Amino acid sequence: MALSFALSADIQISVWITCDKSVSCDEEARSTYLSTGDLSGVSIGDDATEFIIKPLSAHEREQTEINAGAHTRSELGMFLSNQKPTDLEERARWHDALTLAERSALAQYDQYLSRCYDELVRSALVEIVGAEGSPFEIIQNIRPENHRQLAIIELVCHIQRLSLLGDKKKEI
Amino acid sequence: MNTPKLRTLRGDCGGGFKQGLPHAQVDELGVYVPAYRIAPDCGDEWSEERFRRCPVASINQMSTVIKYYHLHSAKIINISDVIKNPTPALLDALYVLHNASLERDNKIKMRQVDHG
Repeated sequence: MALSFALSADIQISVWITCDKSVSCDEEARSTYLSTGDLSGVSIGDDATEFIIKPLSAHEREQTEINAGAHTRSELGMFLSNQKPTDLEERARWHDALTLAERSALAQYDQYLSRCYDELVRSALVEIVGAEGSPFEIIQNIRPENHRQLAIIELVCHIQRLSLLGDKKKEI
Repeated sequence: MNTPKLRTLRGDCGGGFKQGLPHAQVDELGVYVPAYRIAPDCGDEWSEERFRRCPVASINQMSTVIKYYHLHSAKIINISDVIKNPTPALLDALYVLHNASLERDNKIKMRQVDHG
């Protein structure tokens, strides 16, 4: 077992996404891979697409948030987003009780988060092995749409675990 | 005691604790050993923490960071001399080490005061 975070933002590592047909693993192994980078429960086929990413420095991370609109994001939306119930039905009823202005603020904040993810991938995705052109643009062309979103979310998980310590690790 | 059997039960330097390990208990997440059994002097704040793998094996992964922290604290190096472009994770880890070192020093001083 190795450190799940990187010391330097100058390194590059290979990652694979689990919605790739050539990658197979159970849910527990997937969760472990995304949170620690441990590939022991993940089977990677020869045809699997290899993504090369780099961790972000503090400055690069800050810049991605600014590019996503950190200075103009909805503070009310962020506050409401942190209040979201986790239970699906409870969340639906909670959302239904919001005013139109609150729903709009929440939607704006969700859009900001989505832009943050895009900017993180744009900054940290160095190469898609075997593919020519801008790796970020290639990601944007992944279809179906839910696979594109999953690919971005998984890449963001890897970028975050390499770049940040995480709250739990600060406690222990 | 470091018999091969005990070593296996301890997770072979980094793996999860296994049932049968002395002082081990089980909860919904699996086998754990309470912190006060591993480090009886760890204090109230830590005593109920549940360790699921050997903390010494885990801290060995941090040896490079700890070495940099001590060299930096002793003013022998600057972190930027050895890591040109540090991640926020490294900076946070150094901050955690710094706070833990201060806490340790305070604890030692408090003990000295308590024991005259």
